[in-house]
Amino acid sequence: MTEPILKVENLEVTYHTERADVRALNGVSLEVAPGEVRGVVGESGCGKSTLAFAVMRYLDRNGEITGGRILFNGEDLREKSNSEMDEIWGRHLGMIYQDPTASLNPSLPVGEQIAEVATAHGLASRDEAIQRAVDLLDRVHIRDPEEIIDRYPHELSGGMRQRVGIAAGLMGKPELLVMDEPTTNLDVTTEAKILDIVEELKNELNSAFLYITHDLGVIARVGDGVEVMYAGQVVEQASIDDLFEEQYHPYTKLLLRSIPDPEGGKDSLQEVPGSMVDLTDLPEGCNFSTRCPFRSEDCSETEPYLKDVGDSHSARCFEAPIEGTEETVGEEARSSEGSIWDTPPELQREGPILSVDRLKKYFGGGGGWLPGSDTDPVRAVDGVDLNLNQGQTVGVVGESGCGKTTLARTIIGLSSATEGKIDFAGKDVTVPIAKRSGQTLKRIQIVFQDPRSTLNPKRTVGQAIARPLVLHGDFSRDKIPEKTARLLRSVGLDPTLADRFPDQLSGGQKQRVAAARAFATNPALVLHDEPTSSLDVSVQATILNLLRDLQEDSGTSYLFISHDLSVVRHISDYIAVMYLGHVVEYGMTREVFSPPYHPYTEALLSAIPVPDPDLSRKRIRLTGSVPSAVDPPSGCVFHTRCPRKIGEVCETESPPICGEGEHDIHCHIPEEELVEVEPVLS
Amino acid sequence: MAETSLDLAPSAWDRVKSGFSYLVKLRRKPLGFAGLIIILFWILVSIFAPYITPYSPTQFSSDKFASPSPTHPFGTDRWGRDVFTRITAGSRTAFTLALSATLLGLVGGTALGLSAAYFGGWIEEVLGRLMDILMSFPALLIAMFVLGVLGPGTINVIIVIGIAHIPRIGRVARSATLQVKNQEFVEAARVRGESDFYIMGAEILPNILDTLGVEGAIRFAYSIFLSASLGFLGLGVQPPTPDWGLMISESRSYLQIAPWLAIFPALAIASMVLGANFLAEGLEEVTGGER
Repeated sequence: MTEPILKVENLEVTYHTERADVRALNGVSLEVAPGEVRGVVGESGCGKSTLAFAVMRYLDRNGEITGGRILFNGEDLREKSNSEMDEIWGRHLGMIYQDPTASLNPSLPVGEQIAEVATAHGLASRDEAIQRAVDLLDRVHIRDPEEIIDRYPHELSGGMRQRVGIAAGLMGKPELLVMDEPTTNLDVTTEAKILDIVEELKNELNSAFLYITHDLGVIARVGDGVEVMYAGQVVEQASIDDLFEEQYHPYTKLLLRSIPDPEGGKDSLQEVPGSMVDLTDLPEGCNFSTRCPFRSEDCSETEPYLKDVGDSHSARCFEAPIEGTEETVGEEARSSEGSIWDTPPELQREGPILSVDRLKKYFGGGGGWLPGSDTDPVRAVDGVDLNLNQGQTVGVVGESGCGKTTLARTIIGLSSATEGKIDFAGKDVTVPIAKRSGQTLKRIQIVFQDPRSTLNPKRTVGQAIARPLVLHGDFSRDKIPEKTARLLRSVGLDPTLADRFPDQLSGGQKQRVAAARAFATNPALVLHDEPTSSLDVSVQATILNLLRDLQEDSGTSYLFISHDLSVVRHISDYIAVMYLGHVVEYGMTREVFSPPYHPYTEALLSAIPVPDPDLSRKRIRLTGSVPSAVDPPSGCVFHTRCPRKIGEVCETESPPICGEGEHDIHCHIPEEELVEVEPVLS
Repeated sequence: MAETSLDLAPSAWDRVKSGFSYLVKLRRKPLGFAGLIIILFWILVSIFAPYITPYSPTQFSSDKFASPSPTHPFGTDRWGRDVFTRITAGSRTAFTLALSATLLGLVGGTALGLSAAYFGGWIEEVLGRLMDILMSFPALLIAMFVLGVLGPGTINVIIVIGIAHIPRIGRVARSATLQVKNQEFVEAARVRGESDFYIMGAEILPNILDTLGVEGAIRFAYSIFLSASLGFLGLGVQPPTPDWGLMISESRSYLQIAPWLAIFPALAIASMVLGANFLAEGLEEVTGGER
């Protein structure tokens, strides 16, 4: 093994806050060698970003390195002055940030910004630097780099901006690149391309990477070694293959099993009980002992050390290796008192509960009052058909901008439909909220994405849940407290939380309250707009399990919107794949996940990061970015990016529907050919 | 079964408690705390005004233009009235005028600004342009004009100052509402079929109260200033009501022989305006910094 370029020894970082000193890193040691991608994984609050910023010496003002060493090329970065660091930053040590929009200067062309790194260090003249910038943009697979260098950041898509960020990071040919969640804000197909680039750079330039991410699937894809962090400590350290082969620390084990498997079915997901410990109030002994289903008495007395459990594989656990598998552990036992309503949400009736027919939603457009100022509308949803049967779940999946959220908002009436028809329980409800009957309103509910804004910060949990009961309930008011308590228990929350305000709850708890609020009106249909995408995977698992249990109890139908195919697969009976306002494929879950595929579905499937390094699968990468919904491509909307485009017919005619039974594929390729492709996930 | 007590609406007591907690937090902000002390001081003075001195604010005496002394700490005016007594009594006038006017401005401005932002479209346009027109004239000028027509008097002064506050408070309410109205809890309320009135009053309003409170403190300071100016110009409260602006106005002819007639009311105005501004500053820090 080559000499490591970065050696972190016993690093301690403390944040000084008004309330207390928070020990964000507590003795972290790791090494990164040239040509290696070392992943750092963990849930939010585990200290992984602090580690990245500490290595860069970019800590916030109130953050202080209180112990340990950061040896970079054998020299301790802690002892460097800022002017000495100036020599190192960019040239020897580069950083790629999570949000490329924030890290690029909006008022400079991107070429200048990339070139700046070299000119600032006196490595090259301006012209040479610009030339190198062009080469680097080419290297990160940006088309027409000569033209792109003159563009400003806002003229580029998110994925292109992140590639520009990487090009800038590479400009000084640094020996080590620190990447802080570089693909978290990107769509899966873009993420897959960025990960390809990381892999190429590692192999060709022999660079070293410290790769911070919350996503074990991403690490499985690009990483060589991995550090799993919890509460400011490394709890498990291993090579990628070893880690996915066997996890010795209970946290790693639970975390890995809480991820929905894109090949898996609708089974319960493993939950990690409890939530991240408070760093100012760490338990005695092992930090994970408060949540660990495998704990013994020792664990809450003595602090475990990182012990070797194999060849360069170590875990901070006395019990390692853990024998046996634990049954699924729920965060808090849900009550099974049944629905708080006496009647089921919808009487048995024939036909789908929700039926969407050629639905269109255009934004803006139309005439300005100056001649020639007419604009074309944004075609957010452009002719969508959808049927949803009672008690079933239809997952709607697609990348950002595909119109999936607009579809949900139009169905529930937050936006009014431009064209088409929405039938709910056999009744035409193609009108905005103000014109819908109380009965319709209470029977369609929605759970939103952002736990921070889904609850009114000025109202208690109890008030939030009681309000729909007051508004729509047909029972006397003195029963409301009891019904509220039952609703809270039905989402696995202690009724004593009713007096809390939202800022006293965790993100997962807030989403539970949001679910309780939606279910309070006994809805027949609940729309879920990315309800888990702001949550950690372990919390996501508990919410997905909850939603499934609620559906089993109540027979409510779900329209589940997500960008994450694995999540959608886990919860849905049927899946609709959307692209640019159109449904390109619709079918039962297993049909969508196996051939025949729509070429877009195929590309999406091949891009999902799967937490399994041995999984070999086809690599299909889409070129370019999603076209504008103001002027969508003619014919098949996907033809500009389709890797399997068959010819002119794709550009001129809208695709026919092929596929058997309920499985619809909107594609010109004959079905016989579509069937013949290899499955992506095997 | 665990019984839980559930309030279905945030009680007034909750509001008072959260307001009080902000005042407690002010301890850490020196400027805001100083403002709080000054305002508390004036509140106490105005409550206990009749008991602080043995004189009545309108009681004449033969002891005219007496300079400050132990019997008359701030001296006496040309009618022999005790200036100290008139200052303490004047604090009641100042509070009455400024609080009522600020409240009027807050109610009017919030109603207009909140509904403009909530409904958007042409309602927002019309209200916005109306506010622009009102704001394009200096407040004092409008006040002088209206009072010239309506005639001076306490009620008229309150109405005029209150109306002068509406556009500024309306802007603040509008921008605060814009930040809240697209949040998911507001959409959740729409989805369950709440009325516009409920959404504005129960979902949005509580979330912009902090901002409105800070703005209210600033407007209060400005009300003191404006009512004193109007008093000075003779358009405000009429004699013999003790009013600081009026007192300064009456002192003009005697500045040479009895400067205390102007100095003490001026100091009173200055301290109350500064106090309210400091308080606003502090409140902004504790409310804005916390959420």
